[in-house]
Amino acid sequence: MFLTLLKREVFRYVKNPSVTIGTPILSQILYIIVFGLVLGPRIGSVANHSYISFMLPGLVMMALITNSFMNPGWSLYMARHFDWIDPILSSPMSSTQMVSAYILAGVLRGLLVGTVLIIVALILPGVVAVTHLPFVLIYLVVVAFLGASLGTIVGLWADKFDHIVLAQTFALFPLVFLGGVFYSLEMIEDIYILSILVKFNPVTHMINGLRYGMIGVAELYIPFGLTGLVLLSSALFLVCVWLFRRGYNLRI
Amino acid sequence: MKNDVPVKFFDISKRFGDTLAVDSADFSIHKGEFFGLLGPNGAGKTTLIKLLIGLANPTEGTAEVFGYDINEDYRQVHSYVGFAPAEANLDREFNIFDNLRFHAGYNGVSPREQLERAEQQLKKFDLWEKRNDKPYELSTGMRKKLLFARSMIIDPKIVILDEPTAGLDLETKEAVQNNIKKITEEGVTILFTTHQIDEAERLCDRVAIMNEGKVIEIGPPEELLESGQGDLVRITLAEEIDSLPGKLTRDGLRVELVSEKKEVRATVADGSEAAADIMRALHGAGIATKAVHVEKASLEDLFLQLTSKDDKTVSKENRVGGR
Repeated sequence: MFLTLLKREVFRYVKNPSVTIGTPILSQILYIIVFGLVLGPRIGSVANHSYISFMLPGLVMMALITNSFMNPGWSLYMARHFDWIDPILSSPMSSTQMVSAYILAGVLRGLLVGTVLIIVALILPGVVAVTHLPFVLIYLVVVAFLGASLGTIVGLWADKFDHIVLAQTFALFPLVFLGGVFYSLEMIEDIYILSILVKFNPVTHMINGLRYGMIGVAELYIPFGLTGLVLLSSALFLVCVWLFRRGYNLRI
Repeated sequence: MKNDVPVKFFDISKRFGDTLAVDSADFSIHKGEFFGLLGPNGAGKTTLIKLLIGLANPTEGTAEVFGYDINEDYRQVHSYVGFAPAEANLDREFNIFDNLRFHAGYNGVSPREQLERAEQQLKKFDLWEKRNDKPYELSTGMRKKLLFARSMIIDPKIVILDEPTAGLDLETKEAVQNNIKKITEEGVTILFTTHQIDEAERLCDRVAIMNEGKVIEIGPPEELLESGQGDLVRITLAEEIDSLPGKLTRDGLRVELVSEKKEVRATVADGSEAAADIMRALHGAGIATKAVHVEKASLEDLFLQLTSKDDKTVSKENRVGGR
């Protein structure tokens, strides 16, 4: 039951790789070329690393969270909009199984895009290799899980196509761009309010963790960030299960 | 299974704001029965079905499927029920073969068997040649057949068919009806909704007539007709009239003015006696008549009588017998 829904959700993007996987990879590679290879040398080194090495974990996180978010978000919205969620809801599957399938499919898509990006980046000259592999793996999984859980909630909430774009534009993108993808915390020390807010942004902790895993640099306390992210992901998962059980925007 | 009763509703209601879509439905469907749910649009038929299969939450009351509660034991309930909705809710992102095998998988069929069953159902419903088509590439008739095939792929004990023949040409309709008949022979219980009363009269063992959320009549079609509303009286008027004489409504005769107000119609127990009463009332009011017909009432006549606005609150005593 759960495996069939997971298979369906994975097939959904695997059969359209150019749209679902190719597009995000291409856009991130463009960021790498423009910001890393063209502008990077003019910016110089950040935290004793080339700009491209410093920026890359942020770009991977950006792609990872966006893709893991978009997959269940779109899929659930479409399934509700065209009512093909109904046969799933009237199957013997439990709410936990349904939520797990949607989230896991999103996690796998995020990991696929993230892993391809890391491999591409490692081929580039001047990029530091992975220094703490367990941290890289843990952060990739936790962040993908968090993104997919958020996407599941938005997929249930959205009444129209615009709502998903709205959530992405007004919530996800600001958090990602203000989460230190392109700058270090040291660079914004003088902007007091921003430097404080950024520390409360979960995306900053995601990028900080992956940056530690990849280049060994951490600007924030890793155990605190990781614990917070795990707790937040778990809470979001429970919210998803609760919404499914209640039949929020699923049942009349 | 906890018991042998495929479906039992316990005073189940569903409210949307001020509207009571289903109002205290309380009846059972027997094992192996072909049960028809009749009613005009908005009567509450589809909502009642959705309550049963977990697509709607009841406001009050509950229902059981083979003794399992629809809320507490929903996993067991869902494993017994196959559902073919009126509107196609097929997965547009996959072809029809994948639609069927995924559906089987959602319901716990093993991966290998999913493929076998999908092939078997597509062949049974003459859709094998179309297996690589997307659902939106199929005709209305083919989509209806596919929904039916999907409902059967899980080997259900109960099949719910919501308007399975609506909008079909005669040939496809007959094919679908034949398929329905075949599964009843296998002992599967069928809950069937339709607007086509003649179809219900011909196929169903029992019917429930719903109007404005309430089940207002229930029983075998022939018993419903024999219970008093056996004859249809039609009196053609010489000319159009604005309204019926007061005496006709005061006497409790359930009559209506139809055919551009040139015909008086009543479904009653004794046609000849009622025809004479109505004629007397019309002539007494100075209304000339051209012809009188008394014929055996069909289930459709009864349905129209029961679901017309004037009759919705009429007690059984009033409906049956007429006076």
